[in-house]
Amino acid sequence: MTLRSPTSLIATRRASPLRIGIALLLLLLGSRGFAADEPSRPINPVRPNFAGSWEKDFSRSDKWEAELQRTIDQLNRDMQRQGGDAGSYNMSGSRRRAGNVIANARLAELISRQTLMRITQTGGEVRIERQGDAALICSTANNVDDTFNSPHGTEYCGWDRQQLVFEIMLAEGVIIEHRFSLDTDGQTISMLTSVYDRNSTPFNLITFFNRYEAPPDGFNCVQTLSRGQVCSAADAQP
Amino acid sequence: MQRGGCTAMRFAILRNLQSRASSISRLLLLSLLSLLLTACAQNQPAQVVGPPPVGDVQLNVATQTPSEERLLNIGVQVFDTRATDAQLTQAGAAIFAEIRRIETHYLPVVLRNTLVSSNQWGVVRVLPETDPSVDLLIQGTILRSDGANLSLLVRATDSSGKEWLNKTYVDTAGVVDYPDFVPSLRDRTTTNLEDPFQDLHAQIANDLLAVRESMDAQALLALAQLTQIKYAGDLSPEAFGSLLQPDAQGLLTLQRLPATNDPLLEHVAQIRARHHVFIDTIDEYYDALHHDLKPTYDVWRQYSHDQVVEEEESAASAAGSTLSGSGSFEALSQNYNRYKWAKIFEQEFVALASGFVSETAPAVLKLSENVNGLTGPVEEQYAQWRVLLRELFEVETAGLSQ
Repeated sequence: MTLRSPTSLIATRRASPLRIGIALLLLLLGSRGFAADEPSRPINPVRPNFAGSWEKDFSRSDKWEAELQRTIDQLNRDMQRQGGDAGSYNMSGSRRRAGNVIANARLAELISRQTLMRITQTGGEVRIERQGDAALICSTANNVDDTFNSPHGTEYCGWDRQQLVFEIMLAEGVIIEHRFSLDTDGQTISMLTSVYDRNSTPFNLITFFNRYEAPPDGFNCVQTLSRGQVCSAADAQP
Repeated sequence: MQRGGCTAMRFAILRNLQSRASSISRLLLLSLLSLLLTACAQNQPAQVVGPPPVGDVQLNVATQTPSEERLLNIGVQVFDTRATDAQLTQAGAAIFAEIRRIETHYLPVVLRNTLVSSNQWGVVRVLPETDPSVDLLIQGTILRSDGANLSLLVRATDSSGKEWLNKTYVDTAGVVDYPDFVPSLRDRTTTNLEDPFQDLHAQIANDLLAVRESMDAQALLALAQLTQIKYAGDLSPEAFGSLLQPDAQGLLTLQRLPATNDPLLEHVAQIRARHHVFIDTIDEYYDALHHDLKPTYDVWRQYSHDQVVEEEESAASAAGSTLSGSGSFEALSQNYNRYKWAKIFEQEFVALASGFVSETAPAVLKLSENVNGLTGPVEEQYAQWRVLLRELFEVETAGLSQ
């Protein structure tokens, strides 16, 4: 059985009209409203330490086709319910959302294919290196800020409670979110990848990674401009 | 609205989207998010429009050595830098700040070399601080520096305090300013490339020359005398301070000249000669630093130029992008790949910047080696030396001033 993170469970929960009203009111009230939006919680200066080498746990990770089927089934149920209530207009809207969710699902699969991650973490920065993709780098000292900005998209990162969140807003309005959590024994990372835009239902995919001991590379390397990485043999461990 | 505030609001909205909203309210919230993002984007600082680039500039070179009074001594102070908010928050900000710090030492030497090669001036030295022994002091602030753009705010004042220049200079470099290949550090023939922003330095030199040429011989002689007395006043304010007074415009003027056979003046000349030997040594250190850095810096600037060009092309391609089947997987993956490669390119650029800093670190460290038995960074050594000379002057002239 696939474990769901609390956040993804919340994401699928239906909100009451009162809660929606409160959320909208808080949005309009501006930043003070946001402070009130979050229940007060004790400041926890200790962040989870993601540092280490991680390999994908295929048995626990979501299968994207199965997740897609589950999402489409849900959309179908919504469509049938709306079809009875509001006629063909909403039917076509739901079909459009269903079409987008397939594209989103394929994109989510594409961007979470990596099977290995190497994470380094200092007091001020978390760096997640993934084969075949750009590293996710979050300067945590600045709390929330954009870490990368280009005409093709903008990336934000920050801590949300004990989760490290990267949000990528692509140029055409598609949002990709990676949400990293560490389990209590520090041996497993779950990465929740969500892909959505304003016309589509979010597609969520959870990938689990288990810690493994990567062999020491045996070299000390320094980046240089003219000669690339210059490496020397690391001192032997006593 | 502050940038950080926009970011925090964005996060809060997205959190609301995830935790509270049904599909209907999600649409409403996303609409609000779009409005907010538009507002935030409109609140980004506007691009500062600067003066036009200097263009092609021919350095005005003297074919014959100018007359003695025209050979003013120039000090080019190590430049200052002004980082923008964008630079402070960009990826690898600390690395780029270090590169900018290196440039504050490197670029004054390029200007110094340009002034020397014009053959229009006396001694031109790079100095860590303001110096009372020079006729003309040039101070610069680096406003922008990358492989494609250089913008300097340059201020030049003579020893009376008269401002010769206070102007922003801008130059751009294109493909033609760089070799077709990335120069090899091992191939000595490619390490002597002309600076891609040489026109900017030539323009500063020509502007300074124009001011000097507007002054007659008498004014130039008076300036040299004023410098001498100013230096003497710096050594001994009690003995020489009263000779210089500010006029109505705040410019220092000579009230009277000391007697030509004043023995104190002879000691001042001796101390000044020693001081010049010291600042010559410091200048040689900066020159050596420039020499050591130049091959690596040339490579760095070429990479930097390529990165700027890539960014511009990337922006242009994003603006002109009309993907068919928007919302399709092909369109999404194409968008993501563009984003991914732009990010990988930037991360590689930061790695190159880091390589530049680590490769030039030994040369920068050498600058702080001890000069004449003094210790600490070169700025501190300079300050120690000034104190030492004052004390020496007091000791040597103790009998004379009583």
